[in-house]
Amino acid sequence: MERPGLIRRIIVLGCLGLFALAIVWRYAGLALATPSGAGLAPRVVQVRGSIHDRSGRLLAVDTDLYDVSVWKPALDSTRQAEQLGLVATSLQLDAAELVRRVDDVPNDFLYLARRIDSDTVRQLIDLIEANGIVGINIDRVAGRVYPEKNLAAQLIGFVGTDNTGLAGAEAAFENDLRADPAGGRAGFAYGNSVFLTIDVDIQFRLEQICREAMAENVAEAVVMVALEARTGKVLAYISLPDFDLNHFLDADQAAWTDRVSIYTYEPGSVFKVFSLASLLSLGGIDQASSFICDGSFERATSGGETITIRCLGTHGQVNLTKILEYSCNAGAAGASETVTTGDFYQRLNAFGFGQRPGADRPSESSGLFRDPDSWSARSKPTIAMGQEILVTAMQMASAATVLANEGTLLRPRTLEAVYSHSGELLMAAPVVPQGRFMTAEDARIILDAMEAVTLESGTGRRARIDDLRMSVKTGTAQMIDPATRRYSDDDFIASTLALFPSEDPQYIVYTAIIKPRGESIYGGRIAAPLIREAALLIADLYGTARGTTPVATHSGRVVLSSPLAIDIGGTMPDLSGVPKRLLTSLLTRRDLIIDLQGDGYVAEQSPAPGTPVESGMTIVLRLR
Amino acid sequence: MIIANIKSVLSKTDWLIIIISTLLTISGILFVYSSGINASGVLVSDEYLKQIFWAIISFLLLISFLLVKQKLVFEYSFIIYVFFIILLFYTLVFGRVVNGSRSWIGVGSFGIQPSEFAKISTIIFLSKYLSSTIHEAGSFRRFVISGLIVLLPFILIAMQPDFGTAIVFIPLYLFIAFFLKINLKYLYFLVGLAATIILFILLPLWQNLALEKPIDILRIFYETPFVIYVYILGTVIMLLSLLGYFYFKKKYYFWIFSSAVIFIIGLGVANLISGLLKDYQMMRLIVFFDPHIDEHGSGWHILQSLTAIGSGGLTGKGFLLGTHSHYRYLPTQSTDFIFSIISEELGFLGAGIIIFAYFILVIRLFIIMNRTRDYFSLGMVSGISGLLVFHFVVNVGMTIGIMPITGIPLWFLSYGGSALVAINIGLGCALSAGARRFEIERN
Repeated sequence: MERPGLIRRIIVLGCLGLFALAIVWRYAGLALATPSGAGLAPRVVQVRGSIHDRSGRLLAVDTDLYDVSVWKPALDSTRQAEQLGLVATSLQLDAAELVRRVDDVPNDFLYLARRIDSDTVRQLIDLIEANGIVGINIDRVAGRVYPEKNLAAQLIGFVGTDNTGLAGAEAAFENDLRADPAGGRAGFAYGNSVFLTIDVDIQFRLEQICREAMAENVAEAVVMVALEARTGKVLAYISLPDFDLNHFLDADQAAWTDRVSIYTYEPGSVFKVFSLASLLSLGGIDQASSFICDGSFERATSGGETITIRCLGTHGQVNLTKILEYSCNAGAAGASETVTTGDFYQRLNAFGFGQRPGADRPSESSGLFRDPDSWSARSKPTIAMGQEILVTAMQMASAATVLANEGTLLRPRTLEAVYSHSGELLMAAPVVPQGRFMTAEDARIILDAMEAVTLESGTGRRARIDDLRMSVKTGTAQMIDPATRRYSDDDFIASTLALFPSEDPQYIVYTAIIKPRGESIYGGRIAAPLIREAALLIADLYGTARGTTPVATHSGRVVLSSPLAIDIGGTMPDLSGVPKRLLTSLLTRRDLIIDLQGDGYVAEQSPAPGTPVESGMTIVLRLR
Repeated sequence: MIIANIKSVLSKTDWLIIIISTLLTISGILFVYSSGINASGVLVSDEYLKQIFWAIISFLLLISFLLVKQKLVFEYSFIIYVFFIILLFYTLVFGRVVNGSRSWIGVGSFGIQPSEFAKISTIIFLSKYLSSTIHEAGSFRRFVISGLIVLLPFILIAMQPDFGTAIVFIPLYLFIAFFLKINLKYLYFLVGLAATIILFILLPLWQNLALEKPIDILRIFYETPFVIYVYILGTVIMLLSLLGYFYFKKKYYFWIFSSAVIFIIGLGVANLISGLLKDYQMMRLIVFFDPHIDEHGSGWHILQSLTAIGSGGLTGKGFLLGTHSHYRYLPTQSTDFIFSIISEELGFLGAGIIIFAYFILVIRLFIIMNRTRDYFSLGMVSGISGLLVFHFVVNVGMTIGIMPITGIPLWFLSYGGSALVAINIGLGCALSAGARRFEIERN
């Protein structure tokens, strides 16, 4: 046999030798390395920043909670069932169930209870020490508490088990709220505090009336947004049904839905405000333009087809104000014919429809506003009356800032400011104008026309407050039934938009009652009274000037009158009991000689009360 | 006569190999016992009893194969090979699924893994084929047929799917083919191809995880349409160099041609495998670069293993006193990660002795290899020793983080009857080849 050459054997042995060397080298490095602290960062307690309302009231704050777990190999196997039974009682778990879970656990580790409070843990620790239980671990974890429970639940949001934001502001401001362990000092790292624009007082009261409205109208949901008209700041952010943030996992997940920023729907007649404002600002119509409403709007298309839009009534000759006042579909449809589809689309787009409002939310819907390329002949008149377009409640409310700010759209904001843990202002959310595309006069025309809606003949008369001028528009929108893909006969959205006071709008309130099943389904019947209550509440809390409210005015100067100075006129008064301080003015008298004796209060006087006073008299007052 | 000349065989046997392998097996039983103890000091596993049973069986088999005439093994090698191929087929269809692979057959807890035995049967049959075709040593036909002999069990095992065990067949082939004179060009081609495939699988991972910034040039290998242009370009180069070789008969055209083929096939297979690899397999490759990427998931094994080894220090915590294993931080500690337990309890010195024992074992096998007088024995012994080295390097390398995690056991030490029996049979054959090195010549 011919042996393999020397070179072949050297190659093989060389390769193997290198391999062996590498292994021994690495192994020695691992096994003999002196354990050093390097690479082990000191444990830093991370405290997530808190969330507040605009005036600093606490909405979300960190607290200590505890996880209880079992490490199976460490259990005392002889007394396992007995000891687990004790632990189960302490944690209010079913003992047999717990023993079974521990038996079945595949990887020896099991959480018995998570995020339990310190009282329970203290009892458990006592129990463990008293009975010598082994194998049960208790770990401190950061937990989140929401002192206001249900209040503005969808706005605030919640965190997951590892204290990272999952929804709402908790998710949107995750980077601000989260503590950075690298920047920690003395074992603690703090996140920044986030202040939201909402006002807990307004939010709470408006939630109350919305809750009542929801019950009264047997509605599926109620949405309400209140904005400061001049800043775009959100005062109240209401989406019912809501849930307790402290127990969000127990809640029906349908309640988690943010119906203000995410839920989209066809707005219905309220949208006429913005379609007419668009037509007006584009110059298609003016205050005097009039249209005939004979119960329907008809137009022949270039294809020879006739499209018909039915009106709820026969309103005769209507102008801009009447269209809004009567909510005339035919009039709105007719008015829409005065501009091109492209212009109409672009102007409504400028109002924010089809765009995300940017209200500092983790997620927002942009609604659905199709490109004019895909519009049919019906689209323009239909959109003009609030169909064929999907909006969010936030879009509707923020679009109204155009009317309140002389034609300038404001970005709605839910973030007020961010503060560091030490109270330093890191960021104050500015007012962000989004561009101006309407004249102040045109905005005023729309506001005035909307005020007419509250007239006795208008659809919004139930929103009227006699001494507070309001600009209002109501709407009752049909809803698509997903099963039949047609408008449902039962499901509606009743909504109302209001700006007040009309002469100088300070507040914007928008509400929508979704799928009411009560006595009425009409916006003018059920949503307008809700808006009225909301406006009354806001006006009272913020002291908006109203016609009949007694308004106390004050120059601002306060004059402090000196205490009743003693004066001696024609006859001698009774001065007994008068303090010495009040007698000082007498010392300036040149015509009398005042002899004050002692300190305190006048006890005796001479001459007696009633004695006529003459010039040059000596008056003796003894004080005690 | 099946058994002949017992006295002569026993006197020529390398007893050191038997002593060392037995000592390693006994240490294996001790540490399988240790791995079965939980934190309360209670024994919760009877794996060590099974291991004792298998150790006795395998020792008897080792002696039997030492005594059996080597000619018999040579003659029956084809039948043995076919038998285990059929068994692999059977396993693929009727096998028991353990840890996601259909790799077991048998009843109750006494199952066997045919893939372990297939390693030995393939070594024997491959040695037979290559030794009987040694007269046409450099032929292409010989390369292809020998390749197919290995490819068949490789594919069957990879389909189980047990990729780790399948991979073993590659070094196995390279070792035997290298010593039984397959044309070196073909082997270079194979090694080059394997290296190219591994390179192109690892490059994107390395770029994402270790470098953490994109290298634009790499995009041309992985993104359509660039990668298609690369294939086309490679094919053009390949064809041109082939033409050049035929017209000018210059050597370097051949090397360009070979490189182009390796490149195209390597890149193609790498992209194919990257697509086929399951998520957990990809993660194992990823944590190989940085186990901290998935500390509690795929990186867990390696981190716990490193911790156990590091905590052992120079002299270890003492037998049965390792905490990391008893608290069950180490997964599959009696099989894949037995070396970590040994390191924790015996420290660097103890584990160093174990490593040294393997070293002696391999050296003695090489000495046997050097003394063989026929190609069949040479192939067999080189296959067995190559396999031993590969198992050791991959398993220990895995526990110390220089090899990706594959379920390859550490022979003699890891819990597992099939592997223990298989290596002892292999060792028996190798010893027998060493003890009878003059017999075949006489025949």
